[in-house]
Amino acid sequence: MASIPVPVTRRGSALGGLIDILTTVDHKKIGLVYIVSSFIFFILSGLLALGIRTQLAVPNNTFLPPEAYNMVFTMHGTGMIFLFVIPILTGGFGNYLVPLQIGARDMAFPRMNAFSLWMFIFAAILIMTGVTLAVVGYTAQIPSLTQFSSSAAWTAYVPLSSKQFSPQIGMDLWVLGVIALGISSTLGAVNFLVTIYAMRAPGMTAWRMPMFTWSMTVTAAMILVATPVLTAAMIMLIADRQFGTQFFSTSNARLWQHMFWFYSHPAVYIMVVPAMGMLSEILPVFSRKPIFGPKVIILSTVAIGVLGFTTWAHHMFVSGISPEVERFFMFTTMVIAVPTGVKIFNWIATMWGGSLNFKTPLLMGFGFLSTFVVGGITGVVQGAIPLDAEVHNSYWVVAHFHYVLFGGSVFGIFGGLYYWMPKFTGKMLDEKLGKLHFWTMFVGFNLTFFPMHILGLMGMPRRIAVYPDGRGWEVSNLVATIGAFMIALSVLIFIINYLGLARRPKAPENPFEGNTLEWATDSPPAEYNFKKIPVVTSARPLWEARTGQKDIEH
Amino acid sequence: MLFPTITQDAQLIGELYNFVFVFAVLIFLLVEGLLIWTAYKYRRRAAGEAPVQVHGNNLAELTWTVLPGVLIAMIFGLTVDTMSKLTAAGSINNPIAHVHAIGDREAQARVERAQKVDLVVEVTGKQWFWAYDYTDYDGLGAFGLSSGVGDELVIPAGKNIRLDMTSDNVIHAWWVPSLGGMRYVNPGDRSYIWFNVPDTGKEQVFLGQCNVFCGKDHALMVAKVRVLPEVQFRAWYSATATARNQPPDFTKGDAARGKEIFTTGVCASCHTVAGTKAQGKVAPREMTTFASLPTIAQLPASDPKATINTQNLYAWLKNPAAVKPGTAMPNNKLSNRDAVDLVTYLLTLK
Repeated sequence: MASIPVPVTRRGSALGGLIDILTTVDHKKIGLVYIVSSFIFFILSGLLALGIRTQLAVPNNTFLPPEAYNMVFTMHGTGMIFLFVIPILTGGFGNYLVPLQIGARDMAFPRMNAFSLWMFIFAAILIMTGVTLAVVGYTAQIPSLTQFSSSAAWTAYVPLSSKQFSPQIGMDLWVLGVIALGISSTLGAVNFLVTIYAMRAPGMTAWRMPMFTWSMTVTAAMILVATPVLTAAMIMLIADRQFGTQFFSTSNARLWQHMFWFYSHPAVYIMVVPAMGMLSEILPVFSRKPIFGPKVIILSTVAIGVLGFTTWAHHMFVSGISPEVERFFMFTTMVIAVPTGVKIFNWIATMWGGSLNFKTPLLMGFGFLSTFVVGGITGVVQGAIPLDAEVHNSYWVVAHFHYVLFGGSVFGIFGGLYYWMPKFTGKMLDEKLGKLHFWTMFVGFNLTFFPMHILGLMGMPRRIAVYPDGRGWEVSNLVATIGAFMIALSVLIFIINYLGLARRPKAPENPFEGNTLEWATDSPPAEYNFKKIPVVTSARPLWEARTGQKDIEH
Repeated sequence: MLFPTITQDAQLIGELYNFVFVFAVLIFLLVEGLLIWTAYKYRRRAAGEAPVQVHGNNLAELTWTVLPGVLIAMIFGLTVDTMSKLTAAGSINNPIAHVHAIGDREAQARVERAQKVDLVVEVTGKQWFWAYDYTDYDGLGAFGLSSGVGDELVIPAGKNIRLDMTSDNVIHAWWVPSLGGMRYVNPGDRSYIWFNVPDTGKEQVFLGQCNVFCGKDHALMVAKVRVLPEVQFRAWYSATATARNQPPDFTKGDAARGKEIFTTGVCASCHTVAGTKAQGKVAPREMTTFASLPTIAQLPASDPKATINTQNLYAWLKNPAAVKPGTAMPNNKLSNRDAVDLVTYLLTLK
């Protein structure tokens, strides 16, 4: 933790810094601890992904035995979703940026904010310690340690996750971890909603709120509705496992699927909407233009937030629900493509006629747009029930959601890291390394995930620990593995860039011509954020100050 | 679709895929083209550029809201049309294909033809293999294929096949892409799938796999379908039925094999035999000294089926409910040979 280049060591010693981190209720420090810790979980979950790709590089491989492979893919999914993408976007960027963007001095409930953070850290340790022990168990051949990890996939479908079929304690640790994460996430959502509702600076009307803050509003509302359902399902599952309550007895197996996807489909939007919000900040700034159609962007985000709750059963098209219900969910699934498509065209129109400054954040924005659109299109394709019946659970689906969650969320996260790093640390990341990072990641990403569409259409199921030769799956799998190592290389370039921050020159207050309030204070900001609470007269207060022109009224 | 679409259903799905794929590619090219063009045309050439501040355009935004909406509506309509023609997707607890083809006489006739099933195979998802039970084919009798090692689903070409699927453990999914569609195979209920593989005059083999993660050896749960011309199938069916339904010969009972079945198979999930892997806790009494017990399943000693001997035990294992109505012990559809070996093993437990 001592390597975080943030003003946490102001108390003069490493111990003082540590105590500061452990006791802080400052939204910026909490945000940075979220970002750094979830990035560590990104690296760990990424290493698990390399394990998956190494095992699948060639047919009949024996790098990982099936038990170990099943654990590795379970924890890759769990780690990336619950310990990286959601916490870094909401707990990390959300915590750091929302109070700054609305001109507030902190979140509404600072101590609850710290509670959310440490609940997250506790849950992550619960889950990740289990995985680490299990990995040691498999490599050092100590069977007693292998039971500390779950291996029932991140979906934990009953009855596979029941005591009968997953007797190991790792399954209980996993469930407890997810319950703790759910509590952390739900409290965080309450905090965001209250902060955004009650603590905006004078003059900041709803339409003047920055795009990222708007996306966090919708995200927090979604978390508040969705997450308690997952937490309830997890409590029911652990009660089944420990006390035999029979909530999910055999005839109720689909109840789990409904409850799980009622959270986990909106979770996809929880993971991508904040990244969309960051994109809506980055594109205008690096085009020197206002966002095109701000109200349409905002309303489409709200539409995604609402429609996101009506599509969950498309994960169950082949699990045996009535055809009439299936048709309803097919319709909603296809319809949600419309607000998403509107956003993409509005983003392109934002850049149209602009003056595009190709710094790394904008490159990451192009990475987001060009890959996310593929995930959006394949989403409509597999939303058609007969096509879903041929690609469900195949590698096509793996390709689809990585184009959404890596193409969308992860490119968005890196764009955000490059854009706000001067604000976080007072130092600029190196542009040359940044561009190298982008291109390595972009090529590696497409090499990894594009061939998976082909694998799915050739009949390769997901979650298989080994595949035979002679089915035509060899080349695509090998290419995907090479791509995965390229992604790992690109992340390594980012880490080198980050570690070099200390030697970089001091960043100016507003290095990228940002227009929102977080750029109207020091980099990094003082504990109280603003010397004087700003008064807001438009959606782009800093643009007005810089150009001396009046922005349009909202 | 990159796999061959063999059945009529798979072909219909393939046609829908091709149609949607055209629009997918067009939208992909449009968006990527716009991105590349924007990046090239509007890149910053001079530091002081001050572009015109455009805040939006209602007409443009309305256009790119409505046009995708129309496209989506079109894809939705075509998908519903395809669904009305498909027969494969029978819903849960309903062995009759749903007829949504109201007004479409051709599709209606096709669905009705498909409902005249020529062969029903009961499929059970096991951890980690498929067990196939043939109920009957043209009066040739019933038999099961459930050894778990290399069993194939053998079916006749040009006939309507229905699979009645269930699981006695976790959720599985039946997926043979070339035959059209996928269904989950759930514990506690039945799901159904239909197909009719056109006759080519030759043997055809199709591969598929379990497609819901079902535990350790999920990857090895292959579904192999061998399609034979009707004449060959009939010969295979009667030969297999005869071999599988040999009357029980207790002189050939193999106690070691019986022990293997008992301790690693379905018996062990409920029963306990001390000193073996069978440590199930469900059944009312443990089996360590089974052969010394007074009767089978605590039946009254007056019942002629209660005494523990080869014939009674064999009858009990083959169909528990016929011996003791209401018993919790399920009919595990043991083959005659498996039942004989189990009887031989159980009689050694003194």
